[in-house]
Amino acid sequence: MNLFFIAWQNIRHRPTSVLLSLILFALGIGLVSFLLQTDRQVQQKFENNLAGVDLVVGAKGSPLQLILSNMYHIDAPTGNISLKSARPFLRPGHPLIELAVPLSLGDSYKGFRIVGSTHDILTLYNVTEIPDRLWETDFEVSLGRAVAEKLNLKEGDRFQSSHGFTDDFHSHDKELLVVSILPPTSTVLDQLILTTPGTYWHMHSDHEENVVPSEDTSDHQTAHENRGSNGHQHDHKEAHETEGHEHTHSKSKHSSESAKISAHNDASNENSAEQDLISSKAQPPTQASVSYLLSQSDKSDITAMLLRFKGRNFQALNLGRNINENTDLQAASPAIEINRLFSLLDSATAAIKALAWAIVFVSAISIFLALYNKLRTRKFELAYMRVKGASRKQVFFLITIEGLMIAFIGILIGFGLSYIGLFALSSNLESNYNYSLSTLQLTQTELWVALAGLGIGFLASLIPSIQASRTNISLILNEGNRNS
Amino acid sequence: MLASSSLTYSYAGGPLLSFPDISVEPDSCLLILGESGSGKTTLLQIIAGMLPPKSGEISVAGKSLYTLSNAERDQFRGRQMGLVFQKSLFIESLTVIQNLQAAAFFAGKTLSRSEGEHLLERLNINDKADSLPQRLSVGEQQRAGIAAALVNEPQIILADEPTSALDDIHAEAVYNLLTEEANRLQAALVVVTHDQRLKDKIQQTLSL
Repeated sequence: MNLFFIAWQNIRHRPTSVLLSLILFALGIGLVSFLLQTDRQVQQKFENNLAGVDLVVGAKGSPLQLILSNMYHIDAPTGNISLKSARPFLRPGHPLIELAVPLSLGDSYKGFRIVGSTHDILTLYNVTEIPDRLWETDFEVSLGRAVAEKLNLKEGDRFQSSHGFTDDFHSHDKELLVVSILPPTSTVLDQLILTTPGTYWHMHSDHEENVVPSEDTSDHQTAHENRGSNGHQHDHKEAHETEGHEHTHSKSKHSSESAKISAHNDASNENSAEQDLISSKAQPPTQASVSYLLSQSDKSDITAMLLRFKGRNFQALNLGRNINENTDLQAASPAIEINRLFSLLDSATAAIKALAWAIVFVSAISIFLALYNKLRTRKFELAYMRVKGASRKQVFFLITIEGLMIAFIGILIGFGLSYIGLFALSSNLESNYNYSLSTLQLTQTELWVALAGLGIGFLASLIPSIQASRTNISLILNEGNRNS
Repeated sequence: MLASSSLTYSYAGGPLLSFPDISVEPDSCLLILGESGSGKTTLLQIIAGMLPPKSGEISVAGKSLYTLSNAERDQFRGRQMGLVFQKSLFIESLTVIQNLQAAAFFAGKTLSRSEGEHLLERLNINDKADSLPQRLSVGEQQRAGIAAALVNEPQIILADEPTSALDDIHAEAVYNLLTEEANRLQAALVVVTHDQRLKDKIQQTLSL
């Protein structure tokens, strides 16, 4: 027998009298906790995926959209850019750019986006344990860990991608071959299917004639010699043969000229550049390399480039503005755009958070009223306790404990609600964007929310507690006698 | 066991009540008779340490009651005094036996379930041990109230109108119970009442 037991019995005895307070309290705390959790987790997600990218360059449109589609893979791309306009940034040796990663977007498989890129994308997302085999030639893919797990795909599996980001669109005929599964990175890379930029050109050449890469034997020879890879050329040729492309001579002539030049230009830089990027592995150049990409036709499309600067100097910072003002490309800084997005979200979450605390406050008043009103019906039992030797302090603590217990239960239910909310949101995000949130993270913030909740519970019970401890038992006993 | 001298009390705006001196030995009984408004309940509350007198001195078991601190007096009351009321008080959310255990707890003691059952058995309401007090009949409530007063084996039992609401048979039973228990504990029994039926049973009588 102790005060906690009596307080608990008191709450259990008349649950209806505290039910409303409890529901309100739980709702308020739940909402606060939910907002803090999502806020933190979403920011974490966004920050994890910044991946040291200083600038995203793509087609004109909304800068936020450019960032969301190319860095977070949650919006439609702004459009494509020609390789010609991208070339200056991709070419190794740019004075400001340390790393330039081309991206081709537009296709997906079962909701997971297929990204045509070079192996440099692994450097960007800090993949340290690079599998022995990566996507090397067109139609080969390496899967992000989440893709492999969700779709239960393994090396050697084949699948048909579909055009667009949902499965509603038609499928492409040509199958993609899984050559490896990437290690988990806790970044958006886990949700991506990586392939060569060339894969996109093949897929879409049915519809868009002008994106076909250069096809000239001599050109191939040149590029090939520079790289010193035999099997590679074969693959490439085969791929084209199976596709059965027909190119008008005049078209390919022009592009092959420029491709030749660029291939030559890049040959010298290539070795050092490649080794920088994936230094641990000495592997032959592939169709997933920048140099190969640069050897392709000017009219080939990519969607965007992720740029990492050598240093954040004045010139580097001006690069974005220069691009926006002087080219038909658009450059956007992820940090700036994400900050803008957060500041938009912040005012919204701040408003809801204020509402949540208002609910907590109202519930505190409700706890206060519940305890205060109960005093009138409880005066005889307070008198009983005092008659049996309870001090004023004990009576005070009994009421306080009841208030704190209501608050505590409210906090537990609130965290439970928050957990359910996170779970629902996470499932929703997962089915729509393949992003997921982790379940309730109990961090210091949650501890503070819990403590704040208990503090509010204490304040709410303060006046009833004082009132109870001041109970004049003699008056109550007189009243009891008169009533009978 | 219980001694008072020249106690007075006045309610705000009311007349000064002065009480005759009282002296009760262990294992003896005092009946304080008086009509409503005569101040008999006031006297009982002063004796119980719940109402500081305006003047005068009262000592229980050798302790001058109102020289103790409030908390000490609360503890002293819980341990040394058993109070019985016309309408018994309980903590509504606790069962009868839990109420007994709470009474022990507030006096700084503990009461095992078997001890509590033993006490209830003596008062013949053992079967109500796990009932909530408000589900008991008035007679059962009265006996449960007496049980709660006896839990801490007090040296003095103070009963305020214990029989007034009861018919002759039950009044007799309650009276017998109180005297038996007081005798068993060698405690002093003070009964405050306007119930004339008790007048013949108790020798030591004080009229207010």
